[in-house]
Amino acid sequence: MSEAATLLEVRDLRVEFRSGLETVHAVNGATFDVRAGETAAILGESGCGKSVTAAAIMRLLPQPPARITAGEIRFDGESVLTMSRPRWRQIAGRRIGMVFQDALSSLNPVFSVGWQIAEAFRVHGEASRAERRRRAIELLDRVGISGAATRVDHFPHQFSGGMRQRVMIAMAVALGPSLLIADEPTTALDVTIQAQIMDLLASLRAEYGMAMVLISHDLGVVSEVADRVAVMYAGRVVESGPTREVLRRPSHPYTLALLRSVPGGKSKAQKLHPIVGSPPDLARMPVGCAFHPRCEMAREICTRVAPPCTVVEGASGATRTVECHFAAEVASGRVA
Amino acid sequence: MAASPEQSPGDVVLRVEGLRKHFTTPGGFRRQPVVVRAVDDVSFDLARGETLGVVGESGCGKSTVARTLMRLDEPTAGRALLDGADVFAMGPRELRRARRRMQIVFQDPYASLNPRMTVEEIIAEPWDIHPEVLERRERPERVRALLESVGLRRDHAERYPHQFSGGQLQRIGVARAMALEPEVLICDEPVSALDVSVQAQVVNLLEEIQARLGIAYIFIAHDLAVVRHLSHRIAVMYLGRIVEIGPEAEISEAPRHPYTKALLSAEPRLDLDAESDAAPRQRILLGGEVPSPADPPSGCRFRTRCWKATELCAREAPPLTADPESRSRPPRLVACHFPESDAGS
Amino acid sequence: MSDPAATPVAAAAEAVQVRRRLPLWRLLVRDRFALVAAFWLALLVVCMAFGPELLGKAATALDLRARNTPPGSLEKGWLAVLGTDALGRSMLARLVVATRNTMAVALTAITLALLVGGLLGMIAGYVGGWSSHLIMRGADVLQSFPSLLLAVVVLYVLEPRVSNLVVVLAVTRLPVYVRVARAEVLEIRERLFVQAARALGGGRRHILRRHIAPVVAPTLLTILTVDFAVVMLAESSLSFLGIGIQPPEITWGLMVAQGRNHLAVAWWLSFLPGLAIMLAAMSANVLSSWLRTVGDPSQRWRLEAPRGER
Repeated sequence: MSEAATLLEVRDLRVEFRSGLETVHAVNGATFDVRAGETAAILGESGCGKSVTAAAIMRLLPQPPARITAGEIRFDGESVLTMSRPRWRQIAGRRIGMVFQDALSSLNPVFSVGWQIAEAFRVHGEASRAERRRRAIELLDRVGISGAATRVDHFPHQFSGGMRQRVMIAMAVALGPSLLIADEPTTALDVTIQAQIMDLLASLRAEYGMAMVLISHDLGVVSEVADRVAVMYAGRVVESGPTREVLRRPSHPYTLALLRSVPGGKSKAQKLHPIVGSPPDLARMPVGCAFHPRCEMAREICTRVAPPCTVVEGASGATRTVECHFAAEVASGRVA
Repeated sequence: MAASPEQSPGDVVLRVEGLRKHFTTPGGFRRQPVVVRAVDDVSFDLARGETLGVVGESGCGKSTVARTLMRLDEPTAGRALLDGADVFAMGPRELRRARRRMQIVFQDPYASLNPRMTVEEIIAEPWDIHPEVLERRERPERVRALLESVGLRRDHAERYPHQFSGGQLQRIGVARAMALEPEVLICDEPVSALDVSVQAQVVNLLEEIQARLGIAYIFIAHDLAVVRHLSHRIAVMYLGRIVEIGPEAEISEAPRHPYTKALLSAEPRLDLDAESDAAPRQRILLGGEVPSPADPPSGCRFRTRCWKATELCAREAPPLTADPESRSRPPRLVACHFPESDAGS
Repeated sequence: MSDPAATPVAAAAEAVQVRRRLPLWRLLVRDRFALVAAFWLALLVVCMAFGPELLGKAATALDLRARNTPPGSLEKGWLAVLGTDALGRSMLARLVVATRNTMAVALTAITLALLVGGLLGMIAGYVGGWSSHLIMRGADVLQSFPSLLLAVVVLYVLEPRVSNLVVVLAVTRLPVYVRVARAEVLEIRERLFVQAARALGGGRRHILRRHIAPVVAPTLLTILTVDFAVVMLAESSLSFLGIGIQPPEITWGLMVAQGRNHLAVAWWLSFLPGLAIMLAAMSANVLSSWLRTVGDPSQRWRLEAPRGER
């Protein structure tokens, strides 16, 4: 893999949600990079902070109750969090597109899909009315909606789930962004439709040379499409690196446990190996390593000291980061 | 996992014949009533102690099969013979007795437990309905024993549902279903709402219970990996019909129906052993989407998305017929005019 | 999870959120509004029980020298602390004595309305079919007929006895309970836990009692506390028309009505019984919302949480 320029940098991001009664620490120091043109996945279970991170990047967090208490997000060298509103409007939509999980509620039910796709051109003051319509039709056609010339005037409820997700993707790529953030884009869809959508995203990425941040809980999807992966747990990136390396030789106990808990392809006779317990209450985080109460290899130090972020040299020379006191042992398989 | 139990006719605990469920949306001014054929002629046998996995995409009718078998929805036609007695023909009193032998676990553990009841009240509710099963004074002890058997603690009995996580709630749901010691347990997407790491806990629990008590499962899910892991036999449904049914190994190794093949290939797979950089898995991308069950295609219902479809498929619906190459007994059944074959694939 | 060293680390994860359950009275003490409301209602109960026996004489004793004494002074004796009416009768004594009649009429009427209306509504919602149609059309008819007119007609035809008054008031309030109960049932019956109970073999009666009534009851109770004031005032209108409670029996509503003639010279004659009605209704409302919180396991912790966390 050639070292492309870093497009998106997230450094020690911390996000809290405050309600009258308690403070929920949704993101607790997430750090990762996305390089131009690559697909980076954020992998994690519900409540691990992956969607909050995506919302923070897109400046979509409702503040209050949310509060970004620390950290930095840089897009193409510019700080997203401190950027002026007009400057951000030039970037959002034009250079960063976003696709949400729930296409139905993300589309406005009272406007035709063509109007909504053309909205992107309108906001950015581009093209004439006829031109906007022509390009909307072109885009619908590109994302695989047959009969685009008539479908352009239809309303969201006239489309099926998979088709709506295609419309969303058309809107997100309308202005040819260099980064696409896809938050669980196929979670609500059936497998055969999911395959279609992932295929579409891959071909669009190749065509536009876009980078993509794929947020997902699905190990299978991530292993198939992502170049690099950041595994999140309790608001932190516990392990990140090239997907193949991370998933084949995990060096964080959580990654390892996650892999062992899903039914594998061939080894049906093997019993699944679940992770005990459930993810921590983000309002009452455990002291030390957040994973220690569920970790099979937790030792005394894990209950006291949060593990530092260490860089591990992978087999192919690529580096990855791990937050575990015993990363080397996990990676070498001495504790499995 | 144990090998599929040998099936002989006497071993069949539940036989479903010609199950149909049609929903009719009321017509109105200038509007014809619409008949949605959610389940259209589904038949299968369930042997004692076996797990039959039912897979298919949304709208294929798999959950409707579960709901009609439990008579939460009334079937339009068909028979469901539980040890020879037709569940669909039962009056209220007979049905009540039959409920003791057939139970269900629902998809959403948060919604399927009454938030105002303690765990003890929830698990003991089956005995309030069927007081003859267990004497009142024995109930508190049995509730706690059941909690332990699903991996929770005895003192959890006094808690309320909101104090538990999703995985724990699903265990409580399983404990409630087990309270009547049923012979058939229908699991309607029991792990779909749970996180990956927690799914495995519930899957293992279901396996343990089956090994211990020999309960037969109908395990409904859209997640193929989980179904393949748990099931002895698999039924693949498409638009209200079974397109292929047979032993798990035969189906996942050599699918005969094109839809099964496409479904298996579309499933994102964690393939870490193979050097898949070099040879990416062959993936069949189905075009289009599932047609509406209110207006299914003529002939074979899958033909609109099938790459093998001919004029014959549009004219004639293929019946479920035995696969001549099947080594199992009863043999695998496929509903296709042009099934895949070992030689061809 | 206070002592991680003592438990095996992995097992600690299975722990379930726990909070000590406090006895009801402790929870009441923690909520000041509910506590005040409870005290006020308790006082009313005492007045109901012993009022007429203790102050019955004082309430009817005329004192023409002390007519229309304004409240707030002890010069004319402690009984006149809340003032006196146009005949010099002690307001305090009259208010206390009136508690029994007021409560008896209003409470019985709304309780009756709640029980009958709630039951009919639950049947209409759960059973459906023709019984639902019958019940709902009945409720429509009752609601579209002006309730005061209905009461007037009925009470003129029948004798204006207390029992008839109670029934008439209950009937006029019935439709609200029917409608609310039915709407709630229609929503709850589709919930998954009701389906689960059906799958277990639970019959209609089991499901209505175990799963539906406990959810419907708090809502109806809240409406009841609002209705409390409405019914007291309705009773006063009927009494004012001479077909309700007959003098010399008194109720707060009747006192409001009688005081209206003297509003310009003696505001307290209407104001004080009006205040009594409002305070009673408000207390009932506060207490019912407290009960609602206590009765909901997922809300109860709000009251149980230590003060600092709130």
